[in-house]
Amino acid sequence: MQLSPEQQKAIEQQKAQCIFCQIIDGKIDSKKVYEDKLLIGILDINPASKGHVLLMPKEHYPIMPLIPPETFKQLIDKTKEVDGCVKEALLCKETTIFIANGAAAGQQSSHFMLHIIPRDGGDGLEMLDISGKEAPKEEIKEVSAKIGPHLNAVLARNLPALGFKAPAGTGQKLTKEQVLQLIDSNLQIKNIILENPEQFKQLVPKHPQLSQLFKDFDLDDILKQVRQKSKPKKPGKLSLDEAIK
Amino acid sequence: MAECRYCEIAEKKQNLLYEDEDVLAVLPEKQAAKGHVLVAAKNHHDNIQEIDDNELEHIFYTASFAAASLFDKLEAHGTNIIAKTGSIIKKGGHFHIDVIARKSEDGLNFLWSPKRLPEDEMKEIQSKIKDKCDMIGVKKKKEVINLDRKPEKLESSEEKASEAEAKPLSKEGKKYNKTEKKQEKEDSHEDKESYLVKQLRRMP
Repeated sequence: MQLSPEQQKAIEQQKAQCIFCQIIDGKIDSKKVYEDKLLIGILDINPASKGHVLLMPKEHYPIMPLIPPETFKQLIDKTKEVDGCVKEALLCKETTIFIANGAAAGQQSSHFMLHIIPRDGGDGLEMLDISGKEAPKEEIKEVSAKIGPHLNAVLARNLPALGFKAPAGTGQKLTKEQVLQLIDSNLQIKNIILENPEQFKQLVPKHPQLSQLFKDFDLDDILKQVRQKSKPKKPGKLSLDEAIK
Repeated sequence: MAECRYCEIAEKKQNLLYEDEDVLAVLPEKQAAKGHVLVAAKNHHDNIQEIDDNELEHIFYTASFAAASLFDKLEAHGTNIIAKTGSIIKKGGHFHIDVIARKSEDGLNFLWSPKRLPEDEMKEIQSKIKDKCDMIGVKKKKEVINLDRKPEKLESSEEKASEAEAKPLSKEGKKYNKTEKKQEKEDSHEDKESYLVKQLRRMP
């Protein structure tokens, strides 16, 4: 994930005020239970239960997508091991792993961390046992249509690059509408199509992912649709919104 | 056949968002919020410790990308990633992660009332967990060292401990030095055989 200079500056400011960065630098005391080159594990001083461990990268990452692969993989590997240690030390059979991305989700510190919370029957932490209500079918369809193609494309693109198995191609065959949605969600591609469609047409055969995406479709047709969806540049060809007005 | 809820989901492909060899992502019928993705391991495991590193990373990466999709496409204000690691997996048979889209004032609250534990109790817990964590990696190293050091122990320190047993072994060890080297080349393909088995084979 690439950050703008403003975003980088904001992170630097966050770091300066981050309690956990100061703990990692040894400026504030903590109850350390695990440490290696990339990660640190400490007891939460306001625990949900006895043995509540916070496992985090030493480097300050405000959100999960910013964590580089080497650190992320190490975090997951060590979560498994530290979790095993917590279970052995406390003679407990169950733990909950909890991550909050964003204040709305309950993220209390800007330093990304993963919680390992020992569990027991009647521990008052039943809200962490996810259940849910039967959702209306229209809602499920809506959510599926919105995130399905995007998630598939993202996973098919990223998982092999990270060293994991992924289904050949894009898992689900994309329809024309899904391809248009995908372009809509990728500002970089959308802008090139709008500003310089000829350049984009030349780019497609050179990029394996782009040529795979468009291989079943007429490229000119797709580009026409993308341009029509945005501002109409050709007089006489009105978009739906304009026609309604 | 499919007593297992997750195997059934994989078979039916109901509301399936993504699937590959190790992982599937679906929208469960019971949604904790609008935008609740269930990411599950396709293989059966009794607990998280049984899942190998690559598979576990794969599952968590899928959950992380699912969270990003919820954030981008459903305009969530945040996401929660929650998983149970132990006895519940044994019951259900599949490690799974709940990825939940969050919005401010959505009525959900996963936060706990923090406990206040006395300082000496905290120190005791820290010490117990740290002792176990200090063994991470060390256990594996010890196993490797033992396999390599067996010949040295037999020839030097164990000789003193049990001379009667050790002496004939070491004498014959010297006799077999030249043939040992030849055999080592032959045995290089069978490196996995323990040293003791090899020694036993060479004895008349």
